[in-house]
Amino acid sequence: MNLDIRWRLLITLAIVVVSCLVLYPPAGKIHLGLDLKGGIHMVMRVKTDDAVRAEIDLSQERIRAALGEKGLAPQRVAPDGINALLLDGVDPARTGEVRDLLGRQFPQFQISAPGPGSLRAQLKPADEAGIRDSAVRQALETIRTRVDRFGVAEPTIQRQGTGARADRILVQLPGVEDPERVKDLIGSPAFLEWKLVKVPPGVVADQFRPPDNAEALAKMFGGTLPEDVEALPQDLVGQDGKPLQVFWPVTKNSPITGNDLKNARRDQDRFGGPAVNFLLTADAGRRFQDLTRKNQGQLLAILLDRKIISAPRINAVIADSGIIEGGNFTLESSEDLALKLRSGALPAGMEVLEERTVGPSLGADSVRQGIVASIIGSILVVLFMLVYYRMSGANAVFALACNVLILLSAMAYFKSTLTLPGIAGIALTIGMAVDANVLVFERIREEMRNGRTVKASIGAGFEKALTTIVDSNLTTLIPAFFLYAKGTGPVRGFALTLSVGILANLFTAVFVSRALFDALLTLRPRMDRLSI
Amino acid sequence: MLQVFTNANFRMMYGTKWYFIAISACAILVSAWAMATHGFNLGIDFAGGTAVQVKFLEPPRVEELRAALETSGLGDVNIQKIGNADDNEVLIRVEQQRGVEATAGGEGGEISTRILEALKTPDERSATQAGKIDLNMASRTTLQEWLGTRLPNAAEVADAVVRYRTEHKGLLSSPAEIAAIPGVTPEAASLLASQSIVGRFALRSVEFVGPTAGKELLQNTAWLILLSILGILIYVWFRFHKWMWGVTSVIALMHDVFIAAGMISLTGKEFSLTVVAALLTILGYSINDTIVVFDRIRENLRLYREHEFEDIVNASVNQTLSRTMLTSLSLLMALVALLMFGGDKLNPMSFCLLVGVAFGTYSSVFVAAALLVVAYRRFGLKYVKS
Repeated sequence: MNLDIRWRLLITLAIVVVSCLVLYPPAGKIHLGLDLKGGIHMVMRVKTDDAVRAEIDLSQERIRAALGEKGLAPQRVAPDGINALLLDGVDPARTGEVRDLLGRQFPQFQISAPGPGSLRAQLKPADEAGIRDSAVRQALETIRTRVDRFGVAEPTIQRQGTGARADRILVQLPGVEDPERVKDLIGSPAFLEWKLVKVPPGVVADQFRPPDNAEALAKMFGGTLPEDVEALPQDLVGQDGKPLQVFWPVTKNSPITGNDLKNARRDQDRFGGPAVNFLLTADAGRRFQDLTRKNQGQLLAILLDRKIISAPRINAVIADSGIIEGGNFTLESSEDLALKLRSGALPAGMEVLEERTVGPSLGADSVRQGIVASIIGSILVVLFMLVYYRMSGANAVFALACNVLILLSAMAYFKSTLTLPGIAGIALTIGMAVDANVLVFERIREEMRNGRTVKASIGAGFEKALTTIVDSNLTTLIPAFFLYAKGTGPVRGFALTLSVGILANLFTAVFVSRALFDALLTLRPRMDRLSI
Repeated sequence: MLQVFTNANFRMMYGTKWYFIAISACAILVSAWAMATHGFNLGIDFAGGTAVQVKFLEPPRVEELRAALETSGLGDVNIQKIGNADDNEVLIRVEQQRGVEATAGGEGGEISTRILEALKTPDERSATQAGKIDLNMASRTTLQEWLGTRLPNAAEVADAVVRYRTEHKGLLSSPAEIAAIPGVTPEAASLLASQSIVGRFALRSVEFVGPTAGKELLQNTAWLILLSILGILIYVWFRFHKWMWGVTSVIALMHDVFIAAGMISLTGKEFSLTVVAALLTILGYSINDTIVVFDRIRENLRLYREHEFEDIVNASVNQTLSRTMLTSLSLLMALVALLMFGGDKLNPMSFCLLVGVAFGTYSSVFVAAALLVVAYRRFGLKYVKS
């Protein structure tokens, strides 16, 4: 590097100035991680099995219907594992016909014959993967919509993982502290349905009081519930203040579901209490109108995730909008429900793999502690270098300062996140940064002991130390690289800080420090003593 | 000129090298024993479970908290005071709840809520159930929404309260304090005075790690260390053109990491993700040190071809001794500062780094170089000039 010394000083100056500009003002420039700023970090897994199972359930009905139309109905069509259906009791003479029909109408299935009279339809791997993938993508969209409405600044919502682990979703919400509420908000399926209540024979709808267990309900129907009726629970608070569950007899099919919603928002009921107002699509509006006209005086249950919120009496024909009330709503929960309804149902359940919430006060404390530790560490290192190497020590200290400056501005420029271990990484970089300087200085001292001139010693010192500096820094980069590539969250922050610190170190120790020595030599060419 | 070692000439690579190899063997045995008998105090990252960090107004009485938590049926609860005595902070850990899946919004996710509910006094519980808001627990969003229907300037008031609370270590000390918060209007103050309480604790952090995540992390960690060692082995092998140099440096590395891990096990410090980061940093640092020594050996081998291998290694180690000591000293100073002032979260990491750096320095001088000498004698290897 025999560039003119003026150029080298200019480059050094330029880098210092640019770093300062990039960094100024420092407050908003360095992105703090959630462990320093406070907020929620969650990794969720989409249970894509649910989506596959739903596809199988749907196909079960369709296959039975399609075969039935042609008079080919097998005795039994049942799920076999999560991704296959087993058809039992197929007429052996007409197996070929059944296969043809399935192949034509249900191309997503691969048909095999495990035995005489039975066929097995398994989802093709590509189709199954597609179902899983779209479940994750849909969940991602749903979560994004829900979080957006929550009003968080700079949320992170991304898909994570590869291959079999591509079902992960990372959610980071800076500044939010209510993990339970957030989890409930973004994780609940929010599947809304309207079902007619089938009161037991001889009971007037208005007078029906649902019992607190399913058997009692069945008894009202004379032992067993009718074919098309099922018992679903409603959570209430009893007179003694304890939670209470009652069971309603409702139709199995749901004429209207959350998919028919156009909009939903928080509203007030007749008494000014919290409620949710909904608006249906035009098509669903017509169906709703039909339903309410035919069933006036009956009870219509509103269900969320297969639990009854309320079962009001149909007093008038309702077209395309209505209100959900009586769900023990609070202001928050009514707002949350409206939000969940607006963002649509999740296609599959979610499992929380990891959740970290850091309060803002803890974050502030961590920042303070980390900075104090780094400053004290640097002061010790600086004092040590100045005492040991005197004037040359000052050179090393300048190189060190440049190193930290470059490190911080690189973090600001690449918008990388500073985490608590990242601060430790900076402290560690400060300790390690002097290594290259020490290597060079010790070499210079050696050369001077061997009777060389100052100029020759400095030149030889830098040249001989160069390979060692490059080797030792590159080897340190190897684990830092793996930490960054395979690590998660805060560990990545640490690896990044360490790597950038090492690279900056390589530059300052080899280029900046050398330029300073050469500048000194240019100023005083006949120097016969070096303060080192 | 200040010097640590002026023309150091310790005879380390001759008969004495066996002492150092014996010392290392002892340290490895102690580490192995510690890991076998004590195992690791696996942090929540790896073991899974729920950890809630709470800060109290008054010094917490751990026995009372334990009694309160035991009645809530959470199973094995571990309560630990953390930070300085006047921080009044405790960390409450609950093991993975068996058979409870952490469905979002479901049972498993509610463990932290159950812990927090159990910590409340009966008065606080009834007040919050009656709709009053706990100003030490409410987040900005919750506070703003709660105020939203009652005040026109809800957002500003919520901001002011939360900012004030953050600046005061997360805790308001009494309802009287509210009126004095800058930004809280008299109207807001009177509303809060009648409709809110100031609970006796504040939430500092919640961590939950499910069983799958922990297992994957542990595997991932093993891979990271293995890959790094392999990467370093290959790099050194190619740089020095001899597999033996790569192998000895990697043995020295594993020696350092093993002992650092052993000390974590022996002291019972929490084995967390940051400790893994520390172990990997030790890999990087320790190889750095070894490379400096090896580089000098290689250089001297070229200069003094006629000398005995031991003499060259011994001279190289002595020539680099000042540098080795100085670098370690400066790094150790930074690490001691981190250990003393970096707070609880960074403590296991700083400790692990400290042990690793100390052993890394030692091993690059005594283990790697000594092994190289042994290998050359045993296998009769010759250095091939590059």
